[in-house]
Amino acid sequence: MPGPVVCVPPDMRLKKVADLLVTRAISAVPVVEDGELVGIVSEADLVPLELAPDPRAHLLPPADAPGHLPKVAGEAMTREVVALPEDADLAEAGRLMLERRIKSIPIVRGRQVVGIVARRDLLAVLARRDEDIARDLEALLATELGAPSPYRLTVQDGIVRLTAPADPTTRRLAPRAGPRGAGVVEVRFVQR
Amino acid sequence: VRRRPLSGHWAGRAGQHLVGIITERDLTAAMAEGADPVLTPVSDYMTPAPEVLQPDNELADAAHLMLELGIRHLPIVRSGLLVGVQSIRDLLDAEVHHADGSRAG
Repeated sequence: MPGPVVCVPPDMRLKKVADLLVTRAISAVPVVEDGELVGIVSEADLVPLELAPDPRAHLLPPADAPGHLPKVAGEAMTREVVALPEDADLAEAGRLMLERRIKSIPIVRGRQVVGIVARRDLLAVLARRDEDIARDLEALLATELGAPSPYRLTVQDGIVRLTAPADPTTRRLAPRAGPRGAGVVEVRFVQR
Repeated sequence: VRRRPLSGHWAGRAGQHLVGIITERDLTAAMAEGADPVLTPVSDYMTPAPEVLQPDNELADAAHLMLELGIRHLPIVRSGLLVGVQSIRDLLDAEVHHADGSRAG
């Protein structure tokens, strides 16, 4: 969730919201009033409005036609926003996106929006290259144990192989370098 | 994203020549410009001749291409004919379930 979050006020015209989504290449934008999150407008909220019955097609509007089409963000937004606190992990964000079929999740501190995570952000973490994962883990080992490390580390397809002497220290490292590490699928210990 | 085969979903008629792709983002752009949804042909807002994947590409290829281009869908084409579409949702799904599986195992 790099950079400041793009948010809109409830009275922003939907055409302007659509323009913002397109020019910023984002799929949704939080709606904020008096510094507090009150809703979210996504592409999926805007697209159905385009398909609303064409008033020119009928002399009288069909009985089930909405009397008033949303014109501003506050009218089209989803009010029950799925949001997460700053300490939520990425796997949780990923599962929520899949379960709730949403494309982005605002990150909140109380009711204040401090970030937003999109599917793209998760993919960027999960798609990390093996070399980058190895470099970070080697740095972690050096911090924990001092360089040069007695451990040999290889990463292939996100699977970390740590060759180490039988030593309780490796157990201590396991949760930190485990599947929650960015891009790490699995850690396998090989006892020398 | 690991070396696994593509798993795109496709609800339309496959085996046709691909000429373009239109997504929610394109429809949002049409709305931003005030295009008439009844009179405007999709070709006005589609991406013509989009980047595509081959069926033997890997998920990692799809992920890197999507991130590089800032897009969420990639058609899968074999010999010039459309056979599927890979979405960013499919990739996220594969990753989340893969991570769950390896954590459990």
